[in-house]
Amino acid sequence: MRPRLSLPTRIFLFSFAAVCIVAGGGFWTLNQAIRGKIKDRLKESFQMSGKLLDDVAARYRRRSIQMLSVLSENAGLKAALGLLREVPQDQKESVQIRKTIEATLFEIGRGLEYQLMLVTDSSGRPVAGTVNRLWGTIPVEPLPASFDPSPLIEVQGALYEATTVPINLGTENLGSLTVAREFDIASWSPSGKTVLLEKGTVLRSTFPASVLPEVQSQLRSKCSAGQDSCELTVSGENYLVLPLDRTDWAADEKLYGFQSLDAAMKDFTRDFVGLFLWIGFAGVTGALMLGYVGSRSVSKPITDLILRLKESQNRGRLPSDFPTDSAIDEVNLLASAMNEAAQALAVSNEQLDRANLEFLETMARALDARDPYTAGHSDRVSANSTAIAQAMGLPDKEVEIIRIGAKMHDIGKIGIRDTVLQKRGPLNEEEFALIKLHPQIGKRILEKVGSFQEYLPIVELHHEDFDGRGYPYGLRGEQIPLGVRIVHVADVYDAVTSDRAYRAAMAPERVLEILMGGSGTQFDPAVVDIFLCLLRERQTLDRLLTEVQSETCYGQPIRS
Amino acid sequence: MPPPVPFAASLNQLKQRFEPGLVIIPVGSTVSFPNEDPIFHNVFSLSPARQFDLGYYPAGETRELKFDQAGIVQVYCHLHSDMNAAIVVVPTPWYTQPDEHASFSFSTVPAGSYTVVVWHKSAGFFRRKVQVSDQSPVALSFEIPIQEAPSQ
Repeated sequence: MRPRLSLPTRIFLFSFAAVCIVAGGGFWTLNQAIRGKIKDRLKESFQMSGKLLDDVAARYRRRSIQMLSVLSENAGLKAALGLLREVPQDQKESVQIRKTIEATLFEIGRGLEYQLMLVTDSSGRPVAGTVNRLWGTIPVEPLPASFDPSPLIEVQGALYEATTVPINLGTENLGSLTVAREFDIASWSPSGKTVLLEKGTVLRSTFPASVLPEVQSQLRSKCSAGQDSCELTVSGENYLVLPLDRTDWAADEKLYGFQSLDAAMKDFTRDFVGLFLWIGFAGVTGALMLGYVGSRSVSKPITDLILRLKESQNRGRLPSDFPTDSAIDEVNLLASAMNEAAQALAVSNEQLDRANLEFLETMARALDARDPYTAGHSDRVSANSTAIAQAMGLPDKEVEIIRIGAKMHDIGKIGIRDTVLQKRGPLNEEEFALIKLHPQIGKRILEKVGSFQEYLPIVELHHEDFDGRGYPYGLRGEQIPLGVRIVHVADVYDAVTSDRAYRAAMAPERVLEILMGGSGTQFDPAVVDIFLCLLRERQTLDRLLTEVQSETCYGQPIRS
Repeated sequence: MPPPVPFAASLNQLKQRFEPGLVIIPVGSTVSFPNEDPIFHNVFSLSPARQFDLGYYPAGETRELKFDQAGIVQVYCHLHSDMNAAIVVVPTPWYTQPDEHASFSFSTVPAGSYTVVVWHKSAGFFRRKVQVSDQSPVALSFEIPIQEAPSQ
């Protein structure tokens, strides 16, 4: 299901989300860029220090070779080695010669910084060696069975960086002299970790032993030969790994330096974290405010419009005066379109009302015309009612309601049988009861049409008497609307001034009598007064009204 | 086998070398070690056949030693580690050093059964039995594997 969100929420969310995404993306990119830069820097410094260390090591090795060249030019050593060849290995002399060589090593090694010295014969078999311990220099015992003069050697479980030179006598080789110092793996990457790999197996490392299998397998899979760097993750920490080149080493042995990227990143960002957080906070706040203002500026005119529409819904009318001065063109277009629609609707409603009205008026006239005696009744009642209302100074709108209402006041008679309606003779009780139903029937007919609500009281109540003796409800006095009271007088007047099947039109004296006599009982006296005045003004009853002294019908007090 | 005839040989120290590098003498011979360099030398040997240390002596002086035991005597100088010579003390009258073509011959050996011993200072000893007759000379050849010293 699609979430339903209000326009402002939608706009707000989208603009806010966009800003957040841009800001987030920016941060991410920045972070990546910084990470990349740091990586480069790290690599650079790493390579530089690696080169430096290698240079130092190479220099050390050169110096060792120079030193060895001097040391190996020892006549005693040479004489002993030369002698060793001529005596069988297991003889007493052999042991003695080895001791002699050992003593020579003690002698020449004194004061030098080497931790291991080793002499081999011409076939590479070690013949004597000395090693430095905390408590002093001691002979290497037992001697290793064989010795491979590589730059990295393992003697009695310890790893040494070794330099070896041959001991020559002229063009003849007598053996070799090796000096070595213990290989300190930690010195190679003081700020990080170091791993020494021999044929893919970790030989030495500054990592704790528990993570070594992980380090070894990752080094094998991710850091192939020839790469100038690679990245590993050990125990959740990211490392930049660089092979530390040792120019004098064999290909089997590889030294890898590890520098923690995370630590470097942390080091770098520590100073900026506060600033970053501030920028982030300001960015989010700015995005919130912009989003809010933006959504408000877009949705306000529309929500205003909706509010006005709702109001008009409550009032039941669609106004055609929506403001078209909004800052948003589209909203103005919408408002003017609605105005046009409202106008068109009003016009068509009006036309519909008029058609309804005309139809009903026609019905009323047709009803009147069924009986020659009542023909024109509705029109006449309407005309007189209108005249009275105008004379009483009612507003035009009410006068209009009275005019139309009066035309339709007897519409309910549609529902009364002709035999009753056109009976020429006094009505019995049952027939009169039927006749008395016509106001309510009329009301029911008209109430179906929404715009005719204002005519209902005239139709329903035009037989209510001022003293409460009328029908159908027996309302009295002010309970009956003024318009109804007016129509009541005009109705009765027309009835008595018209011929009926059962009697002729009454004489003017009789009519006057009925009007004046009914004033205060059947009729509203104020209405009767005005009507009589009107009648006098029309000079219809001029001569009979001499005793009713009045200059003008207008200006009479209105009791409504 | 007639006894070898001793004689007096000389091993000079010249231009910081022993000259000649190889001296072959019969048992009982004497060798003098004259220093003909303008510098000191200190000639010594650790070889069991004749261990000695002649000490420092300057130019113009000499020392003399008698060699009574057969064997190889490697001679060095304490001051100059590259100086080396070998004195081969032989218990037989028949001894020789191959010429520049690596060939050697003996002409005065009577018929009989012998062992020919060849020694090279780095390759060591090589032995072979040989039957010498009166009629025709015996041809012998030895393959001596020699390792060149690696350069520094």
